[in-house]
Amino acid sequence: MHHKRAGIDGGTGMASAESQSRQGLTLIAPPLVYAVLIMAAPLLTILAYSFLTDGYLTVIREFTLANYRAVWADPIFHKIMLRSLGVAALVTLATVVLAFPVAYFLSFVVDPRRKSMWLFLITIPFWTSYLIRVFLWKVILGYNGVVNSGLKSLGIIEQPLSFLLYNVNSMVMTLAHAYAPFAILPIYIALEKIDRSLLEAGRDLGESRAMTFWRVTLPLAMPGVVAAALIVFIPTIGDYVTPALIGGGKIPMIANMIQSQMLDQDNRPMGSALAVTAMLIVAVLSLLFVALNRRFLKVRQ
Amino acid sequence: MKGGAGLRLYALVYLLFLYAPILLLPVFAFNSGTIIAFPLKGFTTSGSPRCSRTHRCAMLCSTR
Repeated sequence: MHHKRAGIDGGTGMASAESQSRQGLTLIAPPLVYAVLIMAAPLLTILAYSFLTDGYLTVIREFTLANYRAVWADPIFHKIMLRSLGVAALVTLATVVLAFPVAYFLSFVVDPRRKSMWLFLITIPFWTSYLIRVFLWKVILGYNGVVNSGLKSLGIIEQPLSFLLYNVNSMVMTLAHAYAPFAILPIYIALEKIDRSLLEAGRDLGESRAMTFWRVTLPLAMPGVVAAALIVFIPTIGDYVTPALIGGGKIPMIANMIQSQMLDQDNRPMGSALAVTAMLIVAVLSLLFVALNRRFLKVRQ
Repeated sequence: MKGGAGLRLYALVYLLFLYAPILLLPVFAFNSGTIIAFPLKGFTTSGSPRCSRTHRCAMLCSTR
């Protein structure tokens, strides 16, 4: 429409397009300012703190890079950051692999009239607080928990199993539960967008069901898989509650280390430097992940 | 569709996994023991005495 107008009345068309874009900018300005303030203000505060010096009970306003040097040289930070990355990678893998068949089932098998009911069923468990759900996993896996007392009453075990709780596996399981819908929904949406006639074409051209899935369905579903992986990976790195409760506080992740610096040791500049460093690492890894998958993310014409 | 039954079974098992913690909530809500663990003590609809004093007081104070 724009082009036609510009073709007919040249100069005024250009002017109206300009005024239209100005109008658009004024329209989005208030929410944009709000979003920038809400998002940027805390981040910039953290960034500013990370360059200051801790002076016992106060923060000395003196620019320094000492916090970052200390963070990068700290072997504890290396260990905990690597653990956080490892746990988050395991959680992402488990969540996406477990969620994919569910999303596939929702998109391809469920009767269209029943789809909203199934989506509803999947989201209901997440109506209650995250903290309560994490705590209930402790109840399930604990020493006197559901699993142990159940197996004991069945006579399968004599003593409660101690390897269920307070380890990385239980943390992965809890987080895979907590982030399940965040993986199912993006994959489901990507699968819904797939043109069903492409699958028929694949079958008509003599591909087996499995090969059609591998060469048509999966590549087309990849944008959803990539989105799911990022939505699960990024928050799990910074998860605080699960290592504290399910890890028993003995397997801290990066958020627990930041909390300990910020509150227990009252060293806000150091805590901020930790947070900024962790954020940079996560950002770099996420961009790398997207770059590795860029051939699946190209927009189809 | 072939494989639909297997997928349906998988989806149901997955739903059970999603609901497992939630199904326990009412069980412990009506348990009279003070510790959230098995074996269950007995059925109750009132809070334990410890809970009713200190915890409720703390909640009440925080609303003032």
